[in-house]
Amino acid sequence: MTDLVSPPDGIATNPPPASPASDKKIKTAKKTGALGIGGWIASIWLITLTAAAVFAPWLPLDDPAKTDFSVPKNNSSPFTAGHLLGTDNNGYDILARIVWGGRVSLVVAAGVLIIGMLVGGTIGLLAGFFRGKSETLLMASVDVFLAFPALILLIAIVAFLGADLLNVVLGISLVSIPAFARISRATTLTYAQREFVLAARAAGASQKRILVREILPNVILPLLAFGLLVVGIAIVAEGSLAFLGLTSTETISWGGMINGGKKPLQQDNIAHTAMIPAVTMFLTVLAVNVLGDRFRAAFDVKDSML
Amino acid sequence: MLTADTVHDGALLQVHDFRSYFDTPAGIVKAVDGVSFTLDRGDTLGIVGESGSGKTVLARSVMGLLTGKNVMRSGSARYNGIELVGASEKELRDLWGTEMAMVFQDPMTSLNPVLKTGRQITEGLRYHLQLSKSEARAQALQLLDSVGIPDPKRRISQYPHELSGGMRQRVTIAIALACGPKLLLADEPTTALDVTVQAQILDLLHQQQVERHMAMVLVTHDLGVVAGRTNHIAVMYAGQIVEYAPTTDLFANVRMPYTQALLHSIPKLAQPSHTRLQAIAGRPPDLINPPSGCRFAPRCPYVQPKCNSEMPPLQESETPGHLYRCWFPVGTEAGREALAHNTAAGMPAAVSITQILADPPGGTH
Ligand SMILES: Nc1ncnc2c1ncn2[C@@H]1O[C@H](COP(=O)(O)OP(=O)(O)OP(=O)(O)O)[C@@H](O)[C@H]1O
Ligand SMILES: [Mg+2]
Repeated sequence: MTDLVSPPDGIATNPPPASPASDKKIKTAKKTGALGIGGWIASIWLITLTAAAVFAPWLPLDDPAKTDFSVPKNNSSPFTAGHLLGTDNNGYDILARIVWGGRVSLVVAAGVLIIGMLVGGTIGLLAGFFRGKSETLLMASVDVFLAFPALILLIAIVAFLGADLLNVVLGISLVSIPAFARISRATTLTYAQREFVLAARAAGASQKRILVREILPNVILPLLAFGLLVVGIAIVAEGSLAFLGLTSTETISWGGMINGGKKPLQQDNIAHTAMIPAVTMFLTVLAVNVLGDRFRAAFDVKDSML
Repeated sequence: MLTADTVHDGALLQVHDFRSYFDTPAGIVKAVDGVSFTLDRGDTLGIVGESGSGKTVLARSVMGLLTGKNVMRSGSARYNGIELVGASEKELRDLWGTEMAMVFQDPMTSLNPVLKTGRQITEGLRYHLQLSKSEARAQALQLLDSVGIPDPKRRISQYPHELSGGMRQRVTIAIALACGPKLLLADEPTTALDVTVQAQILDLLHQQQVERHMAMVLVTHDLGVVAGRTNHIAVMYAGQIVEYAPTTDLFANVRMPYTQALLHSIPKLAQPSHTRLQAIAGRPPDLINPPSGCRFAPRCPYVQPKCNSEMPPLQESETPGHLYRCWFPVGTEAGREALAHNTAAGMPAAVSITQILADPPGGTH
């Protein structure tokens, strides 16, 4: 979980060579569609979560910051009247807090994809394409970053800048830059040697045009697939910070909810206050990973068909 | 400033003592070692040779596409009077696509897998010819039609993997032809394709070449491919041209034993099994330390002591314009004696070629 750095196994940094085995893959891909059943379930889960998080203020939900002690006691279990997922030890409606907490995860995901992928991806693209001195310089600056364990670096950033949401997102995004840069560079390197790049050169395309029009469209898909995996990790990272109490307690987040559920679990043996946000986070990360995987498989097929 | 506007008479491409070496940890690979030829406007030159003889390196480095730090080029290659050796990438880029273009061996790898075919054709049209989006599209449709792709409107929005191999090679040809080059370098354009499609692609190239009055360098390892489709043939061996002649004269009066061996290794389609009748035994020489004499000597059925010590110069035969590099050429008294001597001594290569010459397999051909 602390490992924001090394690419997980199975991420395609090398475009796979065409193999006869790919025929079988093509057929299965055709049968189930690019997503497969798992991919569809994952998509539905993520779309539902995202929509709920985005439209939270307009949904018929309880105020997530309003305590309700009208029910027999706090920590009321799920399916209590008026509280679909019950309330926590403060009397907050858990469903409302799950939805509002989802906003934090959403912002973290967007931050990682927009900042981490954009900056890291660009660094890797330039390094892998131009090679030489610029590559050494760019990758060295990224490697300096890598010298620190990601979570330690993250904690340091948050401690230094302050623990509000913006800084947490910024910290996680920064920490993800090296990983994106490495993947992007490796992928760019392999595509830059492909014959279609030479063909584009022979047709008179400029360096810039080759980079933007020929290589980037090939690099962006593996990078996005990797980005989804990083999003999963980033959501957990934010949760860990919140769980450790390192983020602002004002912000409603799943990690914070799990942290809050610790007391009822230990003192009163009440599990649902911690379990519900934990399961939500688990399912979300799983869904993001499944989708990233399907995504990768889908364009792998396209590549190996050639 | 390089301009390609000046019209020079005759020669479009003049290559003289051209060398292309690679500096590798193992030593300097002399992939192209002193090649000279001239290609006139509208003509076709076939470059033939075994795998590893330096055909691809020659085509790519003449065009200036090999730019690695370890590449060493020398000699001269003039396109329309413009010296290409030593020209900057920027200067060359003004010629690439519009003046000279290349078709690659494998259309599976020379097309971008994630771009639609239409985009790959219009790309060059838009930045070279400054066409608008719709003009470029119309032009691309016309190009696809002219290279024999049925239903261009549908094909233009498909990805390469949705096309068959032959269809893809037609697309790469359309891309190469898009900006009306005057010189087309085709590097084994049919090797990766089905036998049935090969002739179609070659015919297409020939037809386009005639229509556009375009010069072409057709690289292949198969003499059969260039037989009826070229004005001249250059046979390459170990980085050198070992025989150069007008196509008809080459087939009528082979001089170089290597060419003769290649000729007899053309698979005859009439044969029940398409096996090569006489593969040339042995391997091409090491290009880091090539033999000091004739480079073909270690495999040659005609080899004599002189061949191992002295490199034969490229000399002209009785037919003007027919050059070869051999001390004991085929079809001469010296050659006959050399072969007879080696056959009598029981040299396997000599025995087998003597047999083939006496009794051509497959009867009359
Ligand atoms: N970048 C390079 N570095 C070192 N050696 C190279 C390089 N490129 C090519 N060579 C060598 O140059 C020689 C000629 O290769 P080339 O690809 O031109 O052969 P070819 O005649 O095109 O063969 P084929 O019919 O297989 O395409 C080979 O021995 C090859 O190993
Ligand atoms: Mg080649």
